[in-house]
Amino acid sequence: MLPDERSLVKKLAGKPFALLGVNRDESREALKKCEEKHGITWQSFHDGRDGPICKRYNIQSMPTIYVLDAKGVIRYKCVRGEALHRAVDELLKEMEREQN
Amino acid sequence: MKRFLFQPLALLILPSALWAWHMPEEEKSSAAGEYKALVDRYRDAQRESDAVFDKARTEEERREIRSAFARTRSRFVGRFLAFAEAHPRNRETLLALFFILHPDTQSEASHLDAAVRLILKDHITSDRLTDPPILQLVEDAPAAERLLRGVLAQNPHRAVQAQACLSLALMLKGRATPRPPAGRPPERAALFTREAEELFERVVTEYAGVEGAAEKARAELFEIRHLAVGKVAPDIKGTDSGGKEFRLSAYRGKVVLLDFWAGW
Repeated sequence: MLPDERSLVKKLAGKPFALLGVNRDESREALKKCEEKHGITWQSFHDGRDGPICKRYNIQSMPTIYVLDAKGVIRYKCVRGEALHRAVDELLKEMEREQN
Repeated sequence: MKRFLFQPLALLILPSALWAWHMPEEEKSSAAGEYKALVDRYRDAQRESDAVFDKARTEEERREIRSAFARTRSRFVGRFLAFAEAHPRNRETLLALFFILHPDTQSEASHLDAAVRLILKDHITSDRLTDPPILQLVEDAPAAERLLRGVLAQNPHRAVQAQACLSLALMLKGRATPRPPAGRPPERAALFTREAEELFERVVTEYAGVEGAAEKARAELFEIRHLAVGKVAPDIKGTDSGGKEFRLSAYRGKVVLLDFWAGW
């Protein structure tokens, strides 16, 4: 479960990177159980089946992924696997360049 | 005064009433019987194939059964088409065409073309194009686009127009959506997005009274205008599994991966 997410969190520990979930499980307890069972360490907004966050973001299918830069701007959508790793790396490098 | 008001309505009803009156009862019922027999034979073929599939032992056998059934299904699609062609004005005609256009049927392009031609020829002004939900389910294909554009331009019923407008907009939005895994926008994405936006806007302004349509279109417009690459992500405020409150905007200064997921 969630292999891309897991490897990114592990690889980028200590970097200015955050993984935030929006979880669609029915109850908070179901989310909690899932986090414990799969050792999920990152924070998720609990949104329920058709919650307000998914409604606002017009979510039709899962997984749906948004990659935001340090300014909160949407830079990538619908990236998975290798491409997702590259996208995040690219944004981290961009951030470093801007700081120097 | 009342009598005058009702006259245009009577004119609208008259042609179809005349047609029903002229058509001999036995012809109506024979078409219904023919359709039912066709559906029954198709279901039998499906059941038979499923039973053989369950007994298959190797992946190769299963592949062979699947492709054999695809050939059978294609023959049935031909029969449903012939039925729709022979009985252009029956209750079952649109059901037969709906079956052909349904994504699960996986009809070949030539069959899709023929089904769309029949709808545009015989049913373009029908108020029944929303039930069965033909316009709602069509997948992106040249024939489907012709169908939606034709219906939007020529169907006189507002609920049907609204559905055609919404479906066409969603089809164009789909064409502009980045494809995983690379997440790059497809060619001509901006062009498709622009037309999709105009059509969603049209649903909101012209078809505000059609149930559900404007609400759906508004959500789509929000996505195009506020959730596109290059826009600041709308802030999210919520609580985590422990009930602790947090918000997306608190993560400015970090690269953020926002991930919509579920355990089920």
